[in-house]
Amino acid sequence: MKAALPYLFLALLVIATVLAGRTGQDFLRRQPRPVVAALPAIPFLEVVSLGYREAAADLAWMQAVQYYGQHRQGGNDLSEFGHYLQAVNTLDPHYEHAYVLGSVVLATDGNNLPAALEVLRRGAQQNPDSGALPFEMGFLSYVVGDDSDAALRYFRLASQDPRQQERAQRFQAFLSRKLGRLETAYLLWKDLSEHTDNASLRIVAQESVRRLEAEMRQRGQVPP
Amino acid sequence: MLERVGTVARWTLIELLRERVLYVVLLFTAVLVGSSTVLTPLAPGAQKKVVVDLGLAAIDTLGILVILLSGTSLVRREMDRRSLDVLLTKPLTRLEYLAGKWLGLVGTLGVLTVAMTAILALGLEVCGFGWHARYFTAILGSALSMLVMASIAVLFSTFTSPTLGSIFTLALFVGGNLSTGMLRAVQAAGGNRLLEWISLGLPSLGLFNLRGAAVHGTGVPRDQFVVAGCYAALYVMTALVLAAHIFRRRDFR
Amino acid sequence: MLLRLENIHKSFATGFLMQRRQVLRGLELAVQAGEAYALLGANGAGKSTTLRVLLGLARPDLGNGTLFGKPLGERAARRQLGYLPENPSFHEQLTAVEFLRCCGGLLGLRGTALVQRIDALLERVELQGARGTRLRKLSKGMLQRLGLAQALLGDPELLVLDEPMSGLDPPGRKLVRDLILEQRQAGKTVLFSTHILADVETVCTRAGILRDGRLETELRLEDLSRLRAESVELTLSGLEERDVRRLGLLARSALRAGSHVIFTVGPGEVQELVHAALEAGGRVESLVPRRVSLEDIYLEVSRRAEAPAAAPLPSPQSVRSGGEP
Repeated sequence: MKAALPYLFLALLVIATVLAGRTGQDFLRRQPRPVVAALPAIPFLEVVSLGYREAAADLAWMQAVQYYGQHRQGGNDLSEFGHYLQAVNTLDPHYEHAYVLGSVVLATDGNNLPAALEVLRRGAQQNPDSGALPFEMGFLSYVVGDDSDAALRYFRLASQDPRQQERAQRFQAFLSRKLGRLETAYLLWKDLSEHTDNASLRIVAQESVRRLEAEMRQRGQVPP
Repeated sequence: MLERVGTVARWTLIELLRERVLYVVLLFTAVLVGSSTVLTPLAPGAQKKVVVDLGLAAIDTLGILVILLSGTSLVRREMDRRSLDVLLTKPLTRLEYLAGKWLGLVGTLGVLTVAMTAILALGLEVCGFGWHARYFTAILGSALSMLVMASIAVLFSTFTSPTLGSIFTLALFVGGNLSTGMLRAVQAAGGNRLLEWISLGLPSLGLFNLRGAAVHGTGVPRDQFVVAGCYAALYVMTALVLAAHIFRRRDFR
Repeated sequence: MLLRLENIHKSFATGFLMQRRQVLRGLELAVQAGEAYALLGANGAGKSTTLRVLLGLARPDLGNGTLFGKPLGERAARRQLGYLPENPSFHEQLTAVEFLRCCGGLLGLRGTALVQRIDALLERVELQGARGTRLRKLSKGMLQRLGLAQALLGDPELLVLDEPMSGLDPPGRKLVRDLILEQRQAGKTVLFSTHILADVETVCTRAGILRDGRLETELRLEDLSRLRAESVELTLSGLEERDVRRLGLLARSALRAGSHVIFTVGPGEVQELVHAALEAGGRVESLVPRRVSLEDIYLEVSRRAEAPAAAPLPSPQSVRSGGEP
C-alpha cells in the first residue's frame, strides 16, 4: 500500500488538472466571442516584421479577410477594415490584389467610395507602372459612383499599361459611346477589332464598329 | 593558405551536416511550406503569393536560426573541448582557422538553402503555382545576408559563450533589419552623430532583402546587386579580421 | 638547443573579479635535440602551462623562448612538432580516418602518401578496427591513442605530450613507452609531462621537477642508475640491543622492525657488517641492493620544499623502531 501512495498521488494530480482545465474551458466559453483581434499600430507592425514585410502583409491580409468575413456574418461594422488595409499596403506597397479587393469592399459593403478611391490612388502612387489600379478606379467610379466622366479618365490612364490596354480600351469605348462621343468610340472599337488576339473580343468589337457606323450615318456623321 | 583554409572548411562542413539540428530544420521547412498551402484559402486571389512569401521568409529565417544554433558555438565548442589546441599547434594561423570555420558554416548554409529551395519549389509545383526564376533573386539576397550574419556569429564565438553569442548575433540581426529606419528616424530628429555611426555600424540587412522585388517582379537595379555584393564582402572581411585580431590575443588554458 | 625558455612568467585571470593567479615564476628550461625530457610536478605546478607557452597557445607575461631557433609561436616551427594535449577530445562527428586526413591536410600532406601514413599509424596505435568509427563512440583510451597518431602524422622532430599515459591501461602505457623509445632511437626529441614516475625512468634521458612555477630540480636519468647501486639493505635478526647499536655505527641507518633490524649500508660495507653480525650471534634474513627511484627523489624534493629547514638525512646513530622516522 505504501509503495502505491506516490502513484495514487500522481493520479489524483492528473485528475485534478484535467478537471481544472475543463472548468477553465467552460469559463472561457461563457465569455463573449472576441472580435478578430485588432491589428496593432502600423509603425509597430513595420518594426516587428523586421525584414519580412511581405509575409507580414500576407498575414495582415488574411486577418483583413477574416474581419470582412465576420462582417458578412454580422459580427462587426467594418470600421477597422481601413486600418487593416492600410497596414497591408504599408507593409507591402506592391500588393495590388489587396488594393483592388480592399477598395471593392470599402466601396460596396462599406458604402464609402471616396475611401475606396483614396486607397486605389495610394496604390497607384506606389505602383505607377500598373494600370490595374486606375482601371479599378474607373470601374468603381462608373459602377458605384455613376460618374462616367471620371471613369473615362481613369480608363484612359489604365490603357497606357500594355497589360490592361485591351480591357481598359474596351471600357473606354463603351463609356465614350454612352457619353455621345461616337467618333472616339468608333476609333477605339476599330482599333480593338484590328489588333486583338482575343477571338470573342474581336467579334464584339466588329459588331460595335458596325453599330457605330450605322448610328453615325443616321446622325449624318461620316465614320473616320 | 587556401589548402589549410579549405581543410578546416571541409572539416566544419562535415561536422555541421552530421548534426541532427539540420534535419529538424529541413522538417520544419516542409511543415512551414505545407501549412502555408493550408492557409491559402484565407487569402483568395493571392494564394501563390502567400506560399511564396512564407516560403522565402522561412528560408531566410531558418538560415539565421542555424547560424544562431550552430554558428555561435563554432569556436567556443572547440576551445572547451581542447580540440582547438591540436589545430593551433599545426602550421595554421588563427585567421586561416577562422576563415575556414566561416567557410564551413557558409557551405552548410548553402547546402541547407539549396535543400529548402527545392522543398519550396516542390510545394509550389504540388499546388499548381509553379516556380519562377526571379525567386532566385530573393534567395541570392538571403544568401548574402547569411554570409554577413555567419561572419558576425564567428566573431562572437571567439570571445563569448554560445548563449551570449546567440543573443548578440540575434540583436545585430534585429538591429540590421531596422538600421535603415533607425538612420532615417535619427536624421529626421535633427541628427545625432553617435547614433548615426551606431546605425551605420549595424549590418544593413535591408540591402539584401530582395523578396518583394522577386515576388512582385518589380526588378532589382543592377547597381543594388553590385553595392550589396561589395558591402557583404567588406563586412565579412572586417568581421573575420576583427575576430582574428581578438582570437590572436587569446590565451588557451 | 632545440628549445629554450628563459625567465618565463605567466599568470591567468580567474574568477568573477578576474584576479590574477601566478602559474609560472621565472621558469628556465632547455632541451637538446634527441633528448627525451620528462616534466614532473604536483597538480598546479605549471606543467601544462609550460607546454602551452612553449607551443604558443599561451603568451608569457615576461620572458622569452625559442623553438627550433625561432621565437615562440612562429608558424614555421609548428611544421616540425606534434602535440598531444591532456585528455584529448576531438571532433565528435568525424571518424578516425577523417580526423587524421584533416590533420594531414593542415600539415600539407595529401594523396597516397597521406593515406599510407594514416594506415601505418592506425596500425601502430592499434586502432585499425576503429578507423570508420565516429570519435564520439571511442573510449578515452582510444582517443588518447588517436591523439598520439595525429601527433606523429607529420613525422615531427619534436613530440610534445601532456600526460600521454593518462587514461591508458597497462598495454596502452606500454604502447606509449615503446613509441617514445622509437622516437628517441630515430633521433627525435620528446618532451612530456606525467605523474607516472616509473614510466619516466624507462624512457627518459632527463627529468625536471616543477614546483611553484619554477624548475626546482633537474636530473639526468643515467645519474639515477648510478645511485641505484649505492646502498644495500641488510635485514638481520637475533641481535641484542647493544649489538644493534654497535653495528649501527658501521651502517648509514638502522631501522628496527619487530625482531628484525634493517641496516642500510654502502655496497663496500656489506661484508664487514655481515661478519660483525654473525660474530654477535645474529642471522642474515635478507640482503637487497637498495634501488633509489625517481619517486624517492621526487618525494624528497617535495618534502624539502614543504620543510625549508630540511630535516637532516638519517644518520648511522639513529635507530628507529616501528617505522617511525
